Amino acid sequence: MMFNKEKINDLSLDKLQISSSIYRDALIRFKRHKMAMTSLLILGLVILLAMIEPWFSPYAYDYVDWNVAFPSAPSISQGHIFGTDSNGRDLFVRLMMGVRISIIIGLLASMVSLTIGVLWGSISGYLGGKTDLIMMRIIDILYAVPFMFLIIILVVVFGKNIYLIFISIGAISWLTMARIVRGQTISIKNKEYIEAAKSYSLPTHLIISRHVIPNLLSTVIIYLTLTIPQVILVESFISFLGLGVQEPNTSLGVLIAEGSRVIEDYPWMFFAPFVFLATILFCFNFIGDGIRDALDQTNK
Amino acid sequence: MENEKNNTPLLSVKDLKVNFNTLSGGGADGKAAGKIYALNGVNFDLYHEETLAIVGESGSGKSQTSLAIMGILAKNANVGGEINYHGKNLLTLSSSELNKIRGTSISMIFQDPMTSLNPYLRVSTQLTEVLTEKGVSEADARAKAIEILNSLSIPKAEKVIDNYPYQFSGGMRQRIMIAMSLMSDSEIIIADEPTTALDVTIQAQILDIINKLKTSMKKAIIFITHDLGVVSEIADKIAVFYAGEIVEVGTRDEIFNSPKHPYTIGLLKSIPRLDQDSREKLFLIEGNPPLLKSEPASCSFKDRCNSAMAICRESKPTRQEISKTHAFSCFRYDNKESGYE
Amino acid sequence: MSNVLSVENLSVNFDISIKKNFFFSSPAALKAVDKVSFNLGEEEILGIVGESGCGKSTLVKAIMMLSDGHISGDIIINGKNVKGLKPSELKEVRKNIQIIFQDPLASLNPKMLIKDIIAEPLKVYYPELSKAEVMAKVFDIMEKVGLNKNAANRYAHEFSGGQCQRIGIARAMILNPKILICDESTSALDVSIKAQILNLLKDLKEQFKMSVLFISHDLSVIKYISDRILVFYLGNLMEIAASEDIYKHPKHPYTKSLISSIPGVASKSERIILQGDIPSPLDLHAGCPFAGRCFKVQDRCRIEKPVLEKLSENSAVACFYHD
Repeated sequence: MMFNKEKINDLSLDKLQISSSIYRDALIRFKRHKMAMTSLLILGLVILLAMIEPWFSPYAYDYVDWNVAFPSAPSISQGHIFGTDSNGRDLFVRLMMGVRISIIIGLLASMVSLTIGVLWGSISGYLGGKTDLIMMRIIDILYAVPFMFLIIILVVVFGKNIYLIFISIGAISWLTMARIVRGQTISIKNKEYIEAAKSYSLPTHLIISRHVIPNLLSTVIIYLTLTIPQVILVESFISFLGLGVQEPNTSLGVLIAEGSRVIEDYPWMFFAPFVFLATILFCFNFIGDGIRDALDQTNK
Repeated sequence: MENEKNNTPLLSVKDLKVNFNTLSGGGADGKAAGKIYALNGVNFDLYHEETLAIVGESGSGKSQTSLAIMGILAKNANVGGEINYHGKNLLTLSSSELNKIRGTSISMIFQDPMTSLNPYLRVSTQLTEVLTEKGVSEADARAKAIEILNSLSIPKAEKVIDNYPYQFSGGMRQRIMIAMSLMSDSEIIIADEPTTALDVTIQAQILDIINKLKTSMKKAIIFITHDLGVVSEIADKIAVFYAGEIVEVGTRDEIFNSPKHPYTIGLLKSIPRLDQDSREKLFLIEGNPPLLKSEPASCSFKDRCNSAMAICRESKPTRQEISKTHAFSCFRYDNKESGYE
Repeated sequence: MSNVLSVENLSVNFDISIKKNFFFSSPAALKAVDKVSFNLGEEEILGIVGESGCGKSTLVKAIMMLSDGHISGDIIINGKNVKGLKPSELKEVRKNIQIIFQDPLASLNPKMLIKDIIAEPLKVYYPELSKAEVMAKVFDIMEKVGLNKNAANRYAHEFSGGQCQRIGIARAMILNPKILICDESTSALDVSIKAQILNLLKDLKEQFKMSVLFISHDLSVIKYISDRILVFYLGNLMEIAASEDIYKHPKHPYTKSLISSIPGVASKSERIILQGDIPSPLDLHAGCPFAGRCFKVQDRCRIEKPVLEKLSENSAVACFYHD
């Protein structure tokens, strides 16, 4: 191979113009999406609040305040802005704990979706043939497992445990992602740039990681923003049924379950967690909408 | 020319301007919303029983012209100028008035017959729709459809009319598209690259049919294409588009035998020809068409023109008429009274 | 003249058996390419012309060893039969045979920078090169295909079709291949851009001393760029001729009608307008594949398939009644 050594020196890459207007355009569109931007702001504030709460709050999540009534209504002068629950524990502190659980569940689901779901789907779709058949049948089998039964059985065998919830949500959250990614991969693998890569014998794992997966990302991100609220809701539902988080820990689902029993006498115990859960779900959905609109137009 | 026995134009486009609002295309910093100036003052007349070929490369505005005439430009378009048809300016009509004209007086044939036909409807339904909408009986409409299909030499028209589009080949589908445009007796047919998706031997069949439309059915045709070979087969008059303007317009003979605008000349020379010695290099028009991010203030071909002068960068050439039919926009001709080759 | 590529008796069949139920299927095979033989000489540009469904793309895929079909016959690249090669050996063969595609934009990964696209083949074959060496080579080839250095750090969608095609050419040329395959590489381009790319390809061929297999449906483009031309119809080779002869003295009736169909070539009186459509390769019967549309057809053509008859060193025709 011949090289022109002088040439190497006069090429300073930094001077060359860098641009990526696909994403720049998408960002502009996203910023114009008012609902999505507002949702992003609200969600950010809620998450920030939940994260820093343990440092400034005077109460621990299991601290019982004997100085107030059980439960007591929201009151700033008593120091419980959202009141206390039936055991005299500060509701705001417990709410923040619930938000943290929801966010952790959301993050877990997205990590599992992203790693297992995207890899599984893209490998299955790209390789095709028998590999595809086997990998997709495994997904079908996992889909066929009745999710609620599985959790009930796990709880019966191992006892109530938040990790069981994590495991079972992790186990289901990637299935649909894998299917969607597989479909996208099949359409991408017929593109000419894949053919070009094959023509210079680029190894298959590099074709998948360099040429297939980056081109799937918009679909993946859009679906991810739909998965997160879904699994948050699943966790809340399981906890609402009493199968999830165990006292004195709590989650939004548990709080809503407790509140719903006393909704007529102590409405704040129901509405506070309800509003938080609803806000988080709405925010995720609107952000998902915004991202979809922003990315879709560049895909045309 | 016999085309001008009728001296009033059927369709007259005056100073047509179309620009599009875009999100980030225009601003240099990528933030400011920009505009793309797709058409910058297009003028032409279409007479009865005439085929006007609009030639240009992609992005030259040829398709936007047809969409503007049909009133189906994209939502972010701003339109200026006039499109006069039977004393009415199509650009000022309400959408219901425009709907009446669209499909009944002016109809369109698209490039890709597969995507322009609804795959879930029988061909008969799609053909008769335009008439039954207007209250013609189903049987009459069907009879007419079969008659038209026969005239386009589709074999066994009575039978195949009830087939679905996928059961036809590309060439046959394009004939069905042509039949659709003939159903309503429109005066003007706009054909937007109707043969580009077809094979050469099939293209020859379709061009033959389109030529017959003009002579035997007395239609006026606007034929949009990038293929100068096709143009030489079909056109009476040719308008050469470049960067949203007509740089030269003339009869077929005028354009092919004595082109004046450097772009037309270059275009004609850059096509590989069968009778040419292949050891010769093709003539090159260097560079790429401009991006039309602003309304051109000077000649838009100046950067690719090998005879550009100082004045070309300063002001816009005006339209010069050298015969009743032949006109072009270029400064070069100003200095040389005798013309140039 | 030695051959860099020889194709001998190449057939590509696709299994299109229709499953009737779980146990039975009606076996059927589509003959996309049927017993084709030809050679590509050193520094030769060989044109392959044909309409849709004639097997051009299948042929390319077979030569690139990317075909899903059943291949019989031999493909010999640089004296090496590619049949049954191990992936590592295949990789070495492919280094010398690169391809440029039809759709300039679709052949470039939209999420990769131009410099990474062009550098990728180099990194596959020369992983030992340093970043600076790779970039030097990338800039060198970009210059040769007429791309500005500024293009390196941009994405494909920021470029016009012609520039994208130059990027594709740069990617194919960076390995300095002996054979370049152009699969309808100018079909999607505008007239003025098409001329630029055709001239560029001719220049590069001289400069890099390579052989080119140029596939197109456009006979005038093929005639302009090629030394020799193969005419395909429905997976069969109909005629081989030197590029000058094909226009002046076409032998096969199909070649004749193809030439006369090109708009602007024949005068209206002598035009041959073929009747009917190109049949599907599924409907092929015994006899000449062109028999159904041929204006010279005789009874014999429907029964017996004409074999390629060698007329001279450079020409051959598959027709009983050729001129």
